[in-house]
Amino acid sequence: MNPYVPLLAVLVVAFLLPVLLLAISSVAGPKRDEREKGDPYECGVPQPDNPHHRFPIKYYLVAVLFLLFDVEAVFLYPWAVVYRDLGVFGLIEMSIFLGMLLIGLIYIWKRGALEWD
Amino acid sequence: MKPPVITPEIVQAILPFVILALGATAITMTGIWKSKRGALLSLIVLLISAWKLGPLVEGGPTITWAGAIVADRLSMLLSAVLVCSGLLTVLIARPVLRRENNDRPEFYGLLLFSLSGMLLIVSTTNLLVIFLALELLSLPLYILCGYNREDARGGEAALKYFLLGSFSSAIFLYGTALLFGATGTIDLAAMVEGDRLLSITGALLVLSGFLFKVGAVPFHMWAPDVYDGAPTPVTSFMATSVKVACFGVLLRLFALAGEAGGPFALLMRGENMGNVLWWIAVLTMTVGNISALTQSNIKRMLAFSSIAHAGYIFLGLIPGSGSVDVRGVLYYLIAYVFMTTGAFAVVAALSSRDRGREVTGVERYAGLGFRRPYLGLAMTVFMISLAGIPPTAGFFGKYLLFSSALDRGLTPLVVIAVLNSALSVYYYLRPVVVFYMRDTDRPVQVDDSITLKLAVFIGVVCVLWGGFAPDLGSLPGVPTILGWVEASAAALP
Repeated sequence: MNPYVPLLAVLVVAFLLPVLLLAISSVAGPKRDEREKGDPYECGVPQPDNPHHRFPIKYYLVAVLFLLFDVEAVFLYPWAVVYRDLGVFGLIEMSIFLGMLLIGLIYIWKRGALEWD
Repeated sequence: MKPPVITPEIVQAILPFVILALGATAITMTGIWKSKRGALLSLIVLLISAWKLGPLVEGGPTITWAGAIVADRLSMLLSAVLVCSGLLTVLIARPVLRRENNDRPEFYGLLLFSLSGMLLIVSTTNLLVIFLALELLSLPLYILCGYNREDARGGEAALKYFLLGSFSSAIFLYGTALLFGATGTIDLAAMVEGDRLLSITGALLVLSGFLFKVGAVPFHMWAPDVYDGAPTPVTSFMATSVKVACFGVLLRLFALAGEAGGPFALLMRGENMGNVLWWIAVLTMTVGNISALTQSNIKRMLAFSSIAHAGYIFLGLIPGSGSVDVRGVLYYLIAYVFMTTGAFAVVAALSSRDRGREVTGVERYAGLGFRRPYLGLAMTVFMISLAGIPPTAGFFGKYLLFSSALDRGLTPLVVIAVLNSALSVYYYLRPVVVFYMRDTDRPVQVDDSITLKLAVFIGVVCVLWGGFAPDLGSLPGVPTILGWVEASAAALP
């Protein structure tokens, strides 16, 4: 037998199960339509107004900078795990990588990208 | 894990790239105190890089570093062409940015970053390094397209280029993954034919990524809007350097495939899928030329013309009954860089901004041939060269490509290419007609800065030099472009 047949079986079950659950709840479940149900996040807080606001571009900047340094952390972690195996070579490579990011940080800092106003 | 051995030869081979990358970082940092010396600094960095590159272009053994770095004569010649193109771009950019009161060192920093990516992409056979270099060359370009923040069309160009460029990078990466799955390696030189379906799909996806970057049909939709919306120096850089870098990679890729087989050889032989490259070449040149016919904006016209030229270059990449025409493609790329950069330099000298929008309509050139005879003559030379009329480099480029394609048994393709060339004469000569046969009472505004004149002058000299001395011995003592090109072609299998 093909070794992938169990995998196929899992795939089929994984596909059918949610379909089945959704079908049962839509057929058997009670339906009460209320206004609050249409609001975003049914958490009890009344919605003040329309969510489609224009928001300051600064948030975008923060998001991009966050992403950058987040990726740095993603690379740091596996390096820390195999630090002993990589030895001095890994340390030098990582220093180059961090040095480049540090230069970038100095640049955005000095250019005032981190100031909110 | 054992670190790779770093030999002095490897250091020497990647030094031009390292100098550019470090220089780009340093120049960007001078933006902190809003330095006005970005152009000067970048010229110095480019010249140092060229100085370190010089001895390598002249030859020496091929240096490889586990496939990640391949420094042979081909990669060094392409690097030299790219550095030249960077120098010309800086010469064009400085007066334009000064004029628009927008001269920041970041512009030159980004330019050099992009250029360092191009140097890297032409000197590797490792698909992951190619991807890395592709991103390094693309990301700064996305920013440079939207450099003028007052210009809404620049922003549109940047966004379009960024979105479509990201898609093409993702497609390229997907292709790389499939090729790795099919062959078990990401080194192009070591790739052998693996699973057939997977290989062909992967090779097609990788090829699509590059077709996007060079603006070949059917991946050309972005080119006119982006080239039109970006600042003229950036357009010039995109239209020339990006093409040189990406065609450099394609050249190496197909030459290696011709020698060793592998997934790309399957694609080139085209047994069960029609000849993909054949159709790309035909469509690219025909669509480019026919679209260029109706353009009255000279920047847009040059954008479509660059699509058409990509189509001609594809002629050299189709093996036919022989192998890939390395010599013809290299010569054409060099000729193309100088004629296109020169034409864009003239456009930059004549353009102006009206409420943030760049005005480059062809009617602005009325009467220029009499009022500014030298500038008019230079533009005429570039247009004649782009149209492929002797005695210019553009003519010899086409001659080499077409005659070699005939030898390889691609007669129908050459007939289509020649018809296309004839068609292109119409729109290339239109600016010349406006120059010499129409006049207006409006005063002609021309940028008279010395660096623009220098860029135009270098362009004219190189276009005519390539045209008058294409072969060894035609002018004793004068080095010929073809001589370098042939020596580089010999470096490939």
